[in-house]
Amino acid sequence: MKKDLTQVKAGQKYKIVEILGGHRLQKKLDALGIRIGIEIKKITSISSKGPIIIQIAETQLALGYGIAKKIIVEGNM
Amino acid sequence: MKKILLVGCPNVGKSVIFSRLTGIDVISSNYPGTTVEITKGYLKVGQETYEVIDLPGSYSLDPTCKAEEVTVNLLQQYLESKESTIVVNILDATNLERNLNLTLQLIQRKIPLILVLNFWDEVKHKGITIDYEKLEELLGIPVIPTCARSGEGIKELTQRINQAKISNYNFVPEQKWYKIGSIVEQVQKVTHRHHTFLERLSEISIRPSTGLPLALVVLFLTFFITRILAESLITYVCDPLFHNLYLPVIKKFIIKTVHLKLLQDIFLGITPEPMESFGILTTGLYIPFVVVLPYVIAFYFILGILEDTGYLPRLATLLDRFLHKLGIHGYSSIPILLGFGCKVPGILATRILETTREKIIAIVLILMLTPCIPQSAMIVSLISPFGIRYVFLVFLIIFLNGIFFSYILNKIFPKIEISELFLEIPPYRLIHLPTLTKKLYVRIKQFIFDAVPLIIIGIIIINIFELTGVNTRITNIIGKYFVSILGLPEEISSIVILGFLRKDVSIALLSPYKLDIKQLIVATIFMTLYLPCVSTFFTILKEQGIKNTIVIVVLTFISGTVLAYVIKTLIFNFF
Repeated sequence: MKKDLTQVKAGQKYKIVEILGGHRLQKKLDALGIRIGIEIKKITSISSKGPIIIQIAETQLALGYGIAKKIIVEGNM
Repeated sequence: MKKILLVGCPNVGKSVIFSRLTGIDVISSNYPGTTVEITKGYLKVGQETYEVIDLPGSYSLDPTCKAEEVTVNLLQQYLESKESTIVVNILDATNLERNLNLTLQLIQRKIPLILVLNFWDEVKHKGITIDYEKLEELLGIPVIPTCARSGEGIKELTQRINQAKISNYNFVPEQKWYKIGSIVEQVQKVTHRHHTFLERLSEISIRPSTGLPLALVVLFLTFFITRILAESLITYVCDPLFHNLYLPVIKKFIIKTVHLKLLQDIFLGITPEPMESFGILTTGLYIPFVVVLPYVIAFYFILGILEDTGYLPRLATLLDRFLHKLGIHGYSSIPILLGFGCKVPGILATRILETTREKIIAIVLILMLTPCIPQSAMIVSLISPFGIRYVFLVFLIIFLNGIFFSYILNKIFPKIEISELFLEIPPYRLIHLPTLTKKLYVRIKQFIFDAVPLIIIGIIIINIFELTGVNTRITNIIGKYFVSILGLPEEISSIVILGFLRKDVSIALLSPYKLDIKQLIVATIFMTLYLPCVSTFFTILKEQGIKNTIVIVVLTFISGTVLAYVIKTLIFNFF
């Protein structure tokens, strides 16, 4: 099952399988180590269409809803 | 002169290292994007003097946003210049993997490098061990662990600065993450550990169900404690010192040394009341040091705590959704909060926003949501004798008008896609008192050197206006508009105009005119919004160019005038 980051439950780890969106976004995410194949943890989401907070290694990151929508993950849903 | 560039990801402590190396105090905080301008200083090692340059942070040398572009271009310029340049790459050692990404990009450019692993103390706490000697061996460049806050490792850094080397570590860019992975595997061990109290607090403050109530509490406490602290400073320290110590001495001195009555009046004013005399040495110093400074101290003390603990990025995340309705994303809440103190640093901090549209909306919000802290202090001082609820009312009206105005602005401005929040949430850090005090000291010094001369100049100008009859002329020209639009006495027209120089002094100079509470409400609202002060004006001009500046100033002027007129009509007719 593949879902985007806004659709999955918080508090669990997921593997990134696809990043939709242009080269620019890919580059931006890559600069922080967010890339296909790595594991991230979804910490929480703020309201229904607010930002998503994720953790990658020791870094926590707030991603706008639109960005989170473009990150496709799989794992325990 | 040889140059040392400090390069690193955002929020790795570049500015603290810069302060340590050069002895120059710069503002540093626990959120990405504190530094938006380059700062230069000097470091002497033996016979050699280096120019040290602190660059704003960037996650990558392949820029992904406008702010990073600026940093990368600057770096490029320095490297292309003839002078020999070395790069000190500062890393957050608790995030080795992610930080090494930038390091490998620097290595690829064949630049003489030194690596600094900062936050070395936190590494130990987080159950991470890093074999930095092994890293040095792998990359072939000096690697120095530091804890910039305490100064640990800084001496080693200066001693080894001449050992900067071009690394001959080879890799193909496509394999960079694979290479980074293998480096990290060789030098770093992570042992399991339990969640700390600060990590649990972090979760509480960012999860909406607990985070939003907490945000309200924090904002309330910010204003409440600022007021309590400031009023205590005024009542128990500044005012007694002024009246009991300073005033008698200076009066005696002036009366003894200056015999011309006119000069005596200019220095000491004509009435004994320090807020009303307009004397350069009485009102001119009473306003900045007794009424305003305590508020500046109190506000920046609280702001410093919010900045250094790392609360601000969490607040920014919580406010993201709401700020989207105004056409900006959550990060803008940081410049807006800085603007509560002074509009200038707030506007400078908008540099990190992506599009001009967002920057303009953020600047309008900075200008319109609240008065700056010196001005707020004067409003409190003038209005609170009538009841603190009126102070509250003035701030509420200004705040709601700001929200409403930028909501409309967002609707009518040609729409483009709002860029998305993309913000690192740093770990909570405990307050480090020496760092906090130093930052407070820098900001107070800035206030005293920038503001006090302008306040005194303002009072001199009003004195000259009075003496030369310019006051009457200004009153004749625009006085009737004041009466009809704002319901204010025409004699205060020139004082209101003076607000362009500095708002606090201009509001203070209203006090001899004994305005009633209705007039005070209208006057303070109008003077908050009608024009930015001169320093703010030039900052907007520098950031946005003449065209956008005119748009911003005209828009806020119209909004300020309309709001003041509406409020005047309401309270003069119905209350």
